[in-house]
Amino acid sequence: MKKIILFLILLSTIIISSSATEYTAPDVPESGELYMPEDTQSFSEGLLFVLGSALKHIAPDAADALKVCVKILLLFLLVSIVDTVQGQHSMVVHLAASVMLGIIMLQPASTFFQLAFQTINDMTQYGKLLIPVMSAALAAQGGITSSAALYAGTTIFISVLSLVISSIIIPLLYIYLCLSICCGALGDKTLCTIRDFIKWLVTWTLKIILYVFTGYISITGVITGTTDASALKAAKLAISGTVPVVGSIISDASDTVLISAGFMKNTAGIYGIIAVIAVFIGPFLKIGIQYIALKLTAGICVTYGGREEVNVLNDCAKAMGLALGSIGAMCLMLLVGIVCFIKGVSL
Amino acid sequence: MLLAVLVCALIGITALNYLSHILSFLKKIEMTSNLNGGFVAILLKTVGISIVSDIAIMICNDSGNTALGKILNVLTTAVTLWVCMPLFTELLDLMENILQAL
Amino acid sequence: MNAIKAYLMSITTAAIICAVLKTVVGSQKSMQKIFYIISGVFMTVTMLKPLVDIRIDEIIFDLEGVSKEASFVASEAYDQSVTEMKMIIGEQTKAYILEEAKSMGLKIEVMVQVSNENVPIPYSVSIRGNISPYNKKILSSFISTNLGITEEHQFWG
Repeated sequence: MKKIILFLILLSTIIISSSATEYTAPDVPESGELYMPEDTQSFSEGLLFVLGSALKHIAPDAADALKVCVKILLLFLLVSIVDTVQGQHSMVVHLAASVMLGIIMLQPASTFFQLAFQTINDMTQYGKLLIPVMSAALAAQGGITSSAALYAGTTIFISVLSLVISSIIIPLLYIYLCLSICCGALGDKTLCTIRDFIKWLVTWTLKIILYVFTGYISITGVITGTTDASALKAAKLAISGTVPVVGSIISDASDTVLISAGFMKNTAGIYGIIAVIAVFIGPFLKIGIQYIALKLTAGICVTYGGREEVNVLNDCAKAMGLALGSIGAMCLMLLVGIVCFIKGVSL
Repeated sequence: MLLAVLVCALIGITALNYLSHILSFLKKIEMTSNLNGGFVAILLKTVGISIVSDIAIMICNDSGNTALGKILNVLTTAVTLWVCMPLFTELLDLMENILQAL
Repeated sequence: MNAIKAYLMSITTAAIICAVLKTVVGSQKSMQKIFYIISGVFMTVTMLKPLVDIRIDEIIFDLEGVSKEASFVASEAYDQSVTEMKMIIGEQTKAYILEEAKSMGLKIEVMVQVSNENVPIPYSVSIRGNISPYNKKILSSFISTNLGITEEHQFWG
């Protein structure tokens, strides 16, 4: 009897490998191919590879950031010399300085905002391909209720965040920069107030969407996971009530399907996490380096004087920070969603 | 004093030349952002009135007619508010619409 | 979304126009105060006018569509897993019967049908081959006892 059962188990593994539905993660988008490891079996190794690759390609971006900062330092030096020669604070000089600073910063800022826009699009498109695969694998694993709820929630929130960032936040960043330059040039309080309002609006929009998403996912995951776990337990009890031999056959079949679906779901999920990070890391480091460089430059330029221009420079750095926040929010949302799918049904 | 008035007028005409470029830039902004042209025109009229009245008041003060300068100030305020009446009317209409909707 | 962008652009440009004109307004304090009032009214009108015309029911987001799609994906995947399970159960049951037949020295062909219930169970079997009545009786009893497939659902060819 034991030999028969062993034979059946061995037979079932052969059957599974030839007949199981494949749940594989979609290939990483082009923007993340450079940083993607060949082997994604180990999460920690894959993550380290992505970080290592990203850091290796950082040098040209650091050089570009340095060039911009050198231009800014030279401008501040010129303004402080003109101020010293004039002997008094001149509105025209500071107006011209703010406008020149704006011209120096607008081109790199525009490039980074476009990069953020493209990264958001890539992550959104990848998420739209990955989430159905994870959802199907979770449903195959027995989590029908939780997979439908997680799929709906994650898709809606990703779409909303992507739409808000690309249609409202990115244009707002341009307006923010424009207002900062005008505020520095003209010193008008209304402009400064509107600029601060825009910064507050962008920050709080991202925060609120993330808070609501996290709350929804947590509550949905607990409630639907419990429902699915109860359904699975009920099914197992029903199986155990049948004829013993049939019961063991059905139990083996059920476990085989659940385990293989679970294994494929986890593999797809790990690949998906690494892929999302691969897409995110390059732009994050590019914009991050410029952000840090601008902050450092602002710190140095304070010594030259020119309070209004330093404020404009700080505002440019803040705009970079907001762009970083936007792509970070999208990445975090995708990662949380994928992890919830991997966690699956609580048994 | 006549000389001062003449010089002011000449400088004013020269300044208008440069201001016309700023006006066309503001016009471009107005068209890009779909702002109401009528309201922007009111703002520009206000600025024009204030510049002209400023010069007139200073000429009066320079020639020793401080009282004339003061009354010119009152006239300028009255004219400016009259020019801006459409803006105030629009604001009142908006407030009414909002209160009715609530 | 375009409406939101246009609204924000109009506020920003209105603020820039007011700021630029403030620098040009004369030095008389009374005129400056009047201009501040007028520019404030202008900004208020610019901000409030588009908000009065908003229709919230026009902002559409296809929540129902996403929900339907989610249910469809989940149910399709679940059906697929049930189909796989039924296949595995059928194959294992067949193998079990064949193993027993082999031990009895019989060469037979077996086809197993699995039910469509929540917990799929083998409910009928078709057996073809050269079997003596005696062996048929033993095998039939074996199938009924161990697999729960009654004689009415055993088809011998």
